[in-house]
Amino acid sequence: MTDAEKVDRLLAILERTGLGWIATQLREHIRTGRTMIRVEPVLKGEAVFIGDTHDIDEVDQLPPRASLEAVRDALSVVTVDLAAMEAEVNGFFSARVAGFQGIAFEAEPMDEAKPFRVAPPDPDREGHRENVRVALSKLVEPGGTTSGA
Amino acid sequence: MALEDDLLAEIQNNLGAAIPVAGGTATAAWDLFEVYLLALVVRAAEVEGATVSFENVDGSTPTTLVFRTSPGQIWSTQNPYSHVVLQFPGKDALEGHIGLRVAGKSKVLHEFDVCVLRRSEAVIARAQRVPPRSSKVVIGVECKLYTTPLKLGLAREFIGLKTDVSASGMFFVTNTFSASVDQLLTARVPHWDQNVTPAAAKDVERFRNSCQTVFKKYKAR
Repeated sequence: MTDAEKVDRLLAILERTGLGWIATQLREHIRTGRTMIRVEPVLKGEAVFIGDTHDIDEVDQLPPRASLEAVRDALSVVTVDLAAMEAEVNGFFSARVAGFQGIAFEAEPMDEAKPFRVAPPDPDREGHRENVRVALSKLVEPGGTTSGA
Repeated sequence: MALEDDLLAEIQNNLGAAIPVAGGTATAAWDLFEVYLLALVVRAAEVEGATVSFENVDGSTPTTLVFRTSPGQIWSTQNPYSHVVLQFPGKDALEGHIGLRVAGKSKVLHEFDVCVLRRSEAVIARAQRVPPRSSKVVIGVECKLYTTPLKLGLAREFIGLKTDVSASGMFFVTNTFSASVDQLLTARVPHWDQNVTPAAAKDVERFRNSCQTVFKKYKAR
């Protein structure tokens, strides 16, 4: 499945499951060609459905509410869980490595993965994470969803 | 502000740092999960009395820890890859790596997402440019970061991997949960952990305790 196909599938799922507001914003990013770093992984569909791309097919076949819950869970992993892991990793190693300047991931020459860095700790993000948790939990509550943007 | 606007704002606030600045692939998420689990393994060693230090492949001391984005050879100097050195009193030192190719019983190379092995083996492997042997691995962790329940095939693959490696502690660790995976691994392997994320303190502690048990046995040998 190409990135474009993943995006199309993801957008279709979002629209069908009451998360059309996200789909609309993503489409706008695509249409204008603006690089929005924070939503780029979502655009690729990979960060929302980490792992086997068949996950997208499976979610696609779920009934609407279950599909919505799957999207909610996926967003929770890529926002709340990863941010919390990053904070823990930063805290753990900064306490043990003298002059710690961060963690870098570098690809071997034959590895097509892209390098990245774990960002420095940001104390504001714990508050953001809690807000995301609350908002995500409300998404699947009765009356907590919208019919799309 | 509507719930949806709040959520989008908060997601954007979080995604900015947790997800790669460039590239934007899920690889970064996997990498982060591996390093997170390495930190838990190192913490388990500390609790069991190990002193911890850090080293690069060239022997220098890092201030920026550099890890691989996918498993590679222990002697690779393409980048200044870092590893952790764990020293238990009176015992041979151990090294903790991210993404290492290790030779199984069949001599076939297997990929260990997190690997703690005897330092003596690591030193020889680097000097002779050969992959370390799985019999010298103390802890090997297969890391699975998913947003949906794991498929049974992943557990089957791990069971197959385990038959060709003689590491003392082979772990299958995931951030998600699957009842069928749970059932299969319970019947076939000693070490597996699901739901391991910072929010799941009980599951994190269980994984760390399992690692501690492996280190306890290493110290007793």
